[in-house]
Amino acid sequence: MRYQPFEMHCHTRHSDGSFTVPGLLEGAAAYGYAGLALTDHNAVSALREVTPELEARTCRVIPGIEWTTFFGHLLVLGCRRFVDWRFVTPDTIDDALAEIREAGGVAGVAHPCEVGSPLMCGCNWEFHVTRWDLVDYVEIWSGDDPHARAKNTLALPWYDALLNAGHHLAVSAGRDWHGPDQPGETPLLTATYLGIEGPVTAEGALEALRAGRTYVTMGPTVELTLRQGGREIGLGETAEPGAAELTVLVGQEERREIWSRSGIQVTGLRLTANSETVAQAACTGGAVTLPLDLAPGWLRVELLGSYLDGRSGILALTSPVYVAGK
Amino acid sequence: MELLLKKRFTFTEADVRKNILVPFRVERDYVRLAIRLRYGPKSIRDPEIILPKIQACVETYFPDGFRLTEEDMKDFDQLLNFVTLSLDKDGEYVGCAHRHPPEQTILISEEGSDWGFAPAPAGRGDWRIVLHVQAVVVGAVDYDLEVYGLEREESGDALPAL
Repeated sequence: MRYQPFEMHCHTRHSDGSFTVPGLLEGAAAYGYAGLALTDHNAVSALREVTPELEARTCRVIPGIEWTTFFGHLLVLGCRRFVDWRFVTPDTIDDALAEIREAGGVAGVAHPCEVGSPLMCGCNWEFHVTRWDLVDYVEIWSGDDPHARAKNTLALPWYDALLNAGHHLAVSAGRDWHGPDQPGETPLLTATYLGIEGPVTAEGALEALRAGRTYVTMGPTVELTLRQGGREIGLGETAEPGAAELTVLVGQEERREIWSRSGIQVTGLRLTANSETVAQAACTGGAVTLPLDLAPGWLRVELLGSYLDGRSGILALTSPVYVAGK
Repeated sequence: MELLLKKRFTFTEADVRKNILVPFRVERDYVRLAIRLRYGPKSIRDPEIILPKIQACVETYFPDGFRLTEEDMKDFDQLLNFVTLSLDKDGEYVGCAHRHPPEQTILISEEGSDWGFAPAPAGRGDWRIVLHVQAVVVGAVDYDLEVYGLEREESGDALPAL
């Protein structure tokens, strides 16, 4: 299995973007993404323009749509048939999620803590989900420069509260990309890495989301190996409580020509379990191995460092490894 | 060309988050349908109106003590009225115009439809437009909607002014 970089939230002229479909795919390939999720607002017509030839010379496309409702935005990927978004209400969202799942789709909450109307119409998540098992992931980083906006500062504790309640949800980052950058301009980009078995395909990407094999990053890669009793446990999988050994390998080669423009420097890593810091270590790259005593709940790796004009924060963050018993 | 539907709506803040169903029946086949819409006002820039709206929005959606960042505020030098339109035919979804221009002509045909819509025969059947009232910032928004059936030689450019 290999983790591959994706841009998970994109728009074209088929909704309110300025990208043509080829322009979007070419832009994504130029930034080193292996693929993207094509998620126009309430429209799937852009997918008709995605040809095998276009994908072969640019990047893979996960077919999708952004349900842009009055009560929140939902990224819906990979449905085998159209599922109508128009009349879903806060109290019928579970039925809609079940229909998405029945259609083979994957569902992700977009920018849950964005302000709502009239500033950002319907962007705040107000749905009354009770079947969180029908949701696959949460977009914890929305937009470029993910620490610059209040919505993302709020989204991480919002997401953590769901994990603490026992739900299994992967992370994603999405630029909500609507148009080409100015020549010579490279914003602080993010990527969602998806753990894909075999060749990069849309179905492989969807399976990674379903399984929770994802992490988000401003650039550096994160490879995690949790060993316990002769078993190796990956992101999205479940370990047992008790002793384990975690190895984190921080890579700084992939897409470096893109993210190094944002002045990213790795300084350390942090292990967060059930919203508490359980270990922290200095790291400027390479492998770090830590002994752990796992408690029931969840555990993730956060890569720390500086970026742009010396600001500091989380550079990368993984989906959880879960620990049985809670 | 044939005028198949002509409607005027006035939306207020009480209509926000409502779906307005506009069914219409087409009795014969055309080469394309032209859906024309126009609404306004689109943009509200008066700081005396928008700053209290922004403040109220932050208080509604953010926890106590949270503010919009400088980066956030760049997006909010104006607030926009916003009504989007989706279309289905005989119960099948055709597409959506989720975009901001307050005047649009959307062509639907089997040979190819405009951005956001699937190709669809512009023929007889039960069609339905749904207007999604996303935002009415203040006062009222007047919304004009027309649907024309067009023959082969007719283009959307020939439509009369709304």
